Amino acid sequence: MAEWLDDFFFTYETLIHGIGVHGLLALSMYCVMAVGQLSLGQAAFMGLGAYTGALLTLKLGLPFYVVLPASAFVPALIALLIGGPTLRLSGVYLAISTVGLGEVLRVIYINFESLTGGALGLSGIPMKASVSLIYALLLIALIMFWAVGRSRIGRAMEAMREDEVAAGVMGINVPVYKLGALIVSAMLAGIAGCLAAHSSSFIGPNEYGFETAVTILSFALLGGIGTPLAPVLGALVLTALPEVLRPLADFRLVINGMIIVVAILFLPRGVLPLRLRRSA
Amino acid sequence: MLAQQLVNGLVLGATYALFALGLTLMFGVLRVINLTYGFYFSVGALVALWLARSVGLPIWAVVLLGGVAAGLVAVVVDGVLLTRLRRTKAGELPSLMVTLGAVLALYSLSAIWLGTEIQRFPFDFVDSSAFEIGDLRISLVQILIVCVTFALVGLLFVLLHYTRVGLMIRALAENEDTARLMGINVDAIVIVVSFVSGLLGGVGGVLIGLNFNAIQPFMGETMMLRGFAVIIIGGLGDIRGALIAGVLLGMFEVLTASYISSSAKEAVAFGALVLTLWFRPTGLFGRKEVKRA
Amino acid sequence: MTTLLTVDSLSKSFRGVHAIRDASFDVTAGKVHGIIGPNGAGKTTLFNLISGLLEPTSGTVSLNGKDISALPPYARTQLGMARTFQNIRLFSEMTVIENVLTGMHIQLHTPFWRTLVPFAGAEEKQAKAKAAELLELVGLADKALTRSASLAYGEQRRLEIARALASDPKILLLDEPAAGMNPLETQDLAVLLKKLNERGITLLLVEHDMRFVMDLCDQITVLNFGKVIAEGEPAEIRSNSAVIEAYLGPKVAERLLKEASA
Repeated sequence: MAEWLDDFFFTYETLIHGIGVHGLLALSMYCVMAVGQLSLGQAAFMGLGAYTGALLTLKLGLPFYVVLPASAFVPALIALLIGGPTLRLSGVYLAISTVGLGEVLRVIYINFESLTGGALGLSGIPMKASVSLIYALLLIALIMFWAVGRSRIGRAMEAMREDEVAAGVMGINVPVYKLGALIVSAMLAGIAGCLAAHSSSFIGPNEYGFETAVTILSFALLGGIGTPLAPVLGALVLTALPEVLRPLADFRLVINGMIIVVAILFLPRGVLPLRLRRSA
Repeated sequence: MLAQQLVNGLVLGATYALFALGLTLMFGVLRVINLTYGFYFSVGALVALWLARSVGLPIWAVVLLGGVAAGLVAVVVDGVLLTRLRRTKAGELPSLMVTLGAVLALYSLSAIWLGTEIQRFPFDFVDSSAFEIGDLRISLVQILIVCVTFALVGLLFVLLHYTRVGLMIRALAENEDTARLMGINVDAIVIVVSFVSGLLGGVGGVLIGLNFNAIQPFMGETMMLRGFAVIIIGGLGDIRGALIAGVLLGMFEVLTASYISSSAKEAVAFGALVLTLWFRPTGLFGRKEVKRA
Repeated sequence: MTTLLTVDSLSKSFRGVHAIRDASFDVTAGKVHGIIGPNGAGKTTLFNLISGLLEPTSGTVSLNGKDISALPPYARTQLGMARTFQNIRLFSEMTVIENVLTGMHIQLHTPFWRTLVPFAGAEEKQAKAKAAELLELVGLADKALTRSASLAYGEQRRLEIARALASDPKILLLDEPAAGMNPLETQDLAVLLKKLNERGITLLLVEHDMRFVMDLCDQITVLNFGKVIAEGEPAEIRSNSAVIEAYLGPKVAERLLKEASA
């Protein structure tokens, strides 16, 4: 490998990891929004995946190929618990009940000190998530979403996003689709969390709160949700930007918040108003 | 001691109810889940703190002006963020998202500006004397909190049911298009409702600030979870339900803290929220039609 | 003559206001059945109850003898019911043909990963051919790739019908299909609906335009204040005093009947 490439990887390793993980998180947000729902629990699902993964590795010493699926399973279970009742109701119910999830989990992480390390979090997590693994998973997820999007399932999802009532009348089992989307998105977020934990060696209870949830939403809204690629690009820009504009680092959250405001008010279909083509 | 816990729970619950009242009013009339609402709570408390410290106003003026300031902020925020979406009938989720982005920006800005350390009212600003009945202790601040809550709830009731503006607000809550056809100046009513909601949230912030004597910009954020729990348990848009659910939640939290553990208290609101959604999604007193898809 | 759809003592109240009161009627297979009534008679509420968007306060709806009152809309579609909306509800970002393909949802079963394999979309190809046929039938064949929001009003109505037909319904519910159409478009629509009926699809329609209903329908049910006040063939309905009264008020009705008998 060329020497400058080595240097580049060395300097920006954290950033490269971060972009891949954020790409997965952006896709997890896309998955929910593609059926016209809004989850504010993606950060909480990520945290669940991170803690599950880290604990299984640290306490039980399980191999990573067991740890990774397990950290998708736990958030999926919680998503089922919350999505079951709320997804039969209008969209605000899911948003409201997921907005509290992160806060409750934070309290649990802090108070179950013997298991979770309390406020100090967990450290010494082995670096098992390589760059190639992260990006391979990201690529697989992208291809999957692209395939689903082009199929009859994608058409049904787009129909629900546009008009839930009309979609139901078309024979689309709306509640099942919504629950499925939420569960898949929780699994993806959990995997992203597990990868993040195994690439930074440390996790803490305050990393998965409100700000992270909103940041994940800003990825999706910057890119737009017309195609699965757009939110990943949104994550790329918003993760790399603070590195490029160091002086603005303090205002990172302000910028993320403003992106959402501007996107909703002026660019309702995102900066990249693309639409998935189904060769019709 | 149970009686003491019940009194403390009632006081806490009264502030929850007051806080949730503005939130449910906003949803009931304006059809938005407004996440900037928690920020009005912080604004109320921060303005009150500044007035008490730097201007030296008495406690009643601080409560009142804290509320008014939050009400004005609410009007401005609603005007900037939601007017456009309301005109295009953008629906519930876009308005929820826009307020979500805005509230993160607002909190972060105020944290950059004011710092995140906990700040307190001047020593001896809060009268710490109390009535004692046997072992039972009821402080003046607690009495103030309950009285202010009852007064505001009473005023809101009179406003909604015995004034022309109240009639217009209720008409708007039923149906915006019909309200317009009836010649109601919807934009003006939206301003009134935003102001009243902001005021309720702001006063809630001042009262909680006085109760715990701990104020910082992010204090509204943790409050939002309780606000949501209360309005879901009480039924979205249901004012009476919000009152009862607020008081109940306060009581449960205090009882949980004293009989189980103080950290379990934080999970009460969320647990109650999820249980309500499973078993009575329209709220404890809800009769509202749930649309099926 | 078999009964396809049965509405049995159906009632619906909103916060104590009775929108539908104890409505009962049968729709015979293969017929065109109309529901008429003055504004606010509860026609759209009745439609929403039949298609499952609303749950009845009491009473039942049965399709082919099976009680479907508790089923959500998607399950009713799977049993052979389709509908259109009074205020057109197309998927406006989609193209015209994609709207029709969405209507075919319940007939398609290809798993998603098949789209990753080249030349494996046989089902999708058939679906597209069928969608094109349906567009031909409603006269939108040349607009297949247009974004549906950019269609003219009358075209949108016809697209909604094509989309509803895509699920191969036994019974098609049409909520004011002629609303907002000019006389020429209305005539075309009547021709189209007759054609559908000849293909064996039972039609149940709510409509304002009296002439349209009288020409098209085999059987008519009249609603007023949420109640069924008359039922019969168009000729019977035309001379029914209760119906005339509901539409024109008691005084005019009395005079008209007197004139008729004189």
